[in-house]
Amino acid sequence: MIQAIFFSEFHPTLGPKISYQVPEDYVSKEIFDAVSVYIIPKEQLDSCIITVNVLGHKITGYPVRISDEKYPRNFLIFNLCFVCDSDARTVQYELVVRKLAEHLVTLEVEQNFLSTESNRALLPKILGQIRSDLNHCGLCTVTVGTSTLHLKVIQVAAEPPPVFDHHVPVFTSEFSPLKQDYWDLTTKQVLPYIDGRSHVARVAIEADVDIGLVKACIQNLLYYGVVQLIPIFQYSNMYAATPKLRELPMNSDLSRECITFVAKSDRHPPSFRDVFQMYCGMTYGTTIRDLCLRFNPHALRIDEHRLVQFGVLQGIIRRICKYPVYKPETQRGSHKKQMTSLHALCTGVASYDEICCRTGMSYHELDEKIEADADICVLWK
Amino acid sequence: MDINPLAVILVENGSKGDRLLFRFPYDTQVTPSYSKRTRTKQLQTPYSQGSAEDMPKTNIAYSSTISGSVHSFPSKVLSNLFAVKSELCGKKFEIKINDIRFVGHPLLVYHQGEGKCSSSNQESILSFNVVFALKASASHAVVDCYHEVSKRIAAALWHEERRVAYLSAEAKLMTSTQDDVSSELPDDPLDVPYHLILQRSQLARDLRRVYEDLQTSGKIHLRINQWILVSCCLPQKIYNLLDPGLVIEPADIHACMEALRPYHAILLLGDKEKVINNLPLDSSPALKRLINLANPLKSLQTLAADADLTLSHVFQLVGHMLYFGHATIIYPLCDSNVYVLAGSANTSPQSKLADAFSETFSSTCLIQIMSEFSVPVSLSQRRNPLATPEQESEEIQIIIWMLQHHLLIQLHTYVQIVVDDMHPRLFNRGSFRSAKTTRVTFASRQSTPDELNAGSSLIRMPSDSDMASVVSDEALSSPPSHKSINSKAPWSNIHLASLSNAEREAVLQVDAAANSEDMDLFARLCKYFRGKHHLEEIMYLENVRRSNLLHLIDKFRTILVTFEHEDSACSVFYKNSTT
Repeated sequence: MIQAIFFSEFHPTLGPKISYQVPEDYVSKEIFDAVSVYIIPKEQLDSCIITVNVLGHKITGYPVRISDEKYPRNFLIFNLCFVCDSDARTVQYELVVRKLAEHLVTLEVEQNFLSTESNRALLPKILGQIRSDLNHCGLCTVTVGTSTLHLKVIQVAAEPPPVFDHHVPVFTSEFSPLKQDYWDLTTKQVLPYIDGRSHVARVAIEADVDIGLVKACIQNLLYYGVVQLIPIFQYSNMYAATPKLRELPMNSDLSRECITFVAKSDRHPPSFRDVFQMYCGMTYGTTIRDLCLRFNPHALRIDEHRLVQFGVLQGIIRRICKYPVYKPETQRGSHKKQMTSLHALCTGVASYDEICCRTGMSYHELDEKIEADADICVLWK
Repeated sequence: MDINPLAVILVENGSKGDRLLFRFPYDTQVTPSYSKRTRTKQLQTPYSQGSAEDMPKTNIAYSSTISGSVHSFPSKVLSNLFAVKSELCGKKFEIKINDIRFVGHPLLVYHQGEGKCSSSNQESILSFNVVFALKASASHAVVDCYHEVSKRIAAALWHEERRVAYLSAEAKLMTSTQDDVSSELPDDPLDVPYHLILQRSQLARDLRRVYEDLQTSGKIHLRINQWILVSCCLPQKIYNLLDPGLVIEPADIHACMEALRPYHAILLLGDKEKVINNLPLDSSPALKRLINLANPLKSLQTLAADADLTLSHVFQLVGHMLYFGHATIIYPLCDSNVYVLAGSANTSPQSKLADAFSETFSSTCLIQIMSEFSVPVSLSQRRNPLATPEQESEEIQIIIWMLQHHLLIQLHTYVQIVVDDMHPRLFNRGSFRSAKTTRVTFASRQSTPDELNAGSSLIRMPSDSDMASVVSDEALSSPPSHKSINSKAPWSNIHLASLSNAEREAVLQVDAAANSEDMDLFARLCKYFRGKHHLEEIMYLENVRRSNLLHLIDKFRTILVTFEHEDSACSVFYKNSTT
């Protein structure tokens, strides 16, 4: 939230001062005097994004200096600052502040915007518009005379994790196909194949798009929080409960959401007890196949695939992956064994999913090969 | 790493205006991290925030002279920024310029109205500020830690200044050195005065040590003016050095302290002698005693008794040890403990960890042990009856080593009471469960208080062997005729108060509820069946035996569900940057 926006400048006789502020007097004279050295700083710090966080305000500004002999001191210094609460994040406003300041420079150089009193008087109105529009929609279009300026607050998120062949992208919330225009051409081609079941390599083949491009698209979708990555669903998978599982019976919103998500049909939702028992049954050594045999989810009106998907997305359960590690027994044979291509993949870092995707083997083929090889150890974690 | 400092800067605001007294590192050759290289690397990813370069420059002369490194800031600019107005003194000071964040804690030497005693000293210091430069991407918690460091150093300097005018003397030394150099060699590179200052001034050497210690170990332990002790640390850095990839913030340690219970134990992360030798000479004797007596088999409660300390004191010392990365929290080793390979464990056979393991235990292979722990194993299951005492002790040593390196995690069993009524939209149930479901026997129904019986038809499971179900529901809603056992059921209202009506009813329908002994125990323990307490905690809190508890859970298995996961006090130390 932008609490206030002010326009400050270096007055030829009065020194640094706030000329316009919306809402008025949000930053008091005393506070401004204490921080004025950071708002109108030394020459070397011109055109730097400066954020100062003191006295309960976080002020982001971009001081600019225009040198010209027409000004009383041969230069004009001003700084248009956004004020937020001291604990707020302000990174997303930095580029907006800079763009605005540079636009004002252009206006001043071309039209003497800041030097003419009648034009300057427009500033409070413009600042007010920017503040309310950015706070409410994150977008703002400012028209001054004949020039138009578009501002947009772009939330800075953490960098998305890398996407691998064996990941399965799944939409986080109800994704509206109407909003597809928003995305680029490649993403539009990929989107219909994201169904929460196909892994990246398969999406690439089905959509007939290069896998590198698909990964880039999905990474982009991840950045915007449209999709999440989950492991491939297989009946041989194992899952384990996380400490978050205890929240499920406590949190009625979560449990209601869970029941509607995992239901086979909307009209006959499963009982919570059955769903919870299935989650509790997920532990080391129990595959989904075992679980299905034990509980018969079909009769309980539970879709086991949706059950796992909900659990992983909510962090109630986590996948336990199988990691083969090549560990040659040097004592046994005097001759050094030939390292096969499979051995090279068994580094302890690549899981079964990854190796299957890379070699094109099925889970069972790989499992049989690894079981037969005495030099390979298998770890679950 | 965003944890490392970029620079440390000392600024004074005196009667002659602001002045930068010392900065370290001062030489471009010493510059550690923030070079052009890392900058371009950041720009490669399309998600990084644009920097000043990627916007088209207009031809107006407002190009910035300040680039990405602290060295590009002239001393005069820095001193102007950090010699703050008196209104800002005594508070956290934070400013971000482009990609660099500066954090400090400015202090006024003399408060307003508090006159300086001697007029002989013309050059008096009004305020000073010890500032750390960090990367802007450093997290909030890291910035707060640096603020704490700055605050502590400032407090020590403030005290010494008021006691013996230490800061004034050092400042005079630094300014005179700067003046000498600039008058003698006006064309010389900027770093020369700082080099000389470093030779002459104790404070400058201390600040350099602070910078270097933060860079290498994350721990600071020094005496300002060889008198006031400044001792603090960056937990993020310490844990990162222990295990790269481990991300531990002070908030995690606080969360762990919140979850700490007297039945937990501490496990030293290093050799006992080494930990004690690394403690400062004047550290608390209680801490030394605690470390000497620490044993992974002993709970904190026992440890407190052995060390003759109060439990709360032990908790404080444990918090300190966690903060400084000396120890971790475990449940005391015992036969019933179930361990499994941690999800965050590094399983590469080429890792440093594997090498370190084979150095310590030459006879076994880490990968082999890890694969044995791929499924949960209890210590009693692992015990080999034919093993010699030496082999057994090595086995325990291996487990301790793996716990120290956060490779193993202990699984605890939690109990949750679940009845069907939580979601009333139920119809018929799966056929396979009817065999397992509660059999409502005639006797137990008779003993049920009548007010609890209302509405039981909704949850009650009719089964053909059940006589009552043949009698039909009207018989249920009418008050039962025999009330002989009613007097024996006071727990239904008092002790089962933590349960909802539906749950209470379901409990009373279980076969075992007819047995008053079982029911008494259940009533006593039912408040723990909410998935928040693991079996060991219930045993500790209510002083019950494991076998009794397991028996009870088995008898009430129709309404109790168990699940396994790690203890929340311990799990914070398994956070990994990759997961």
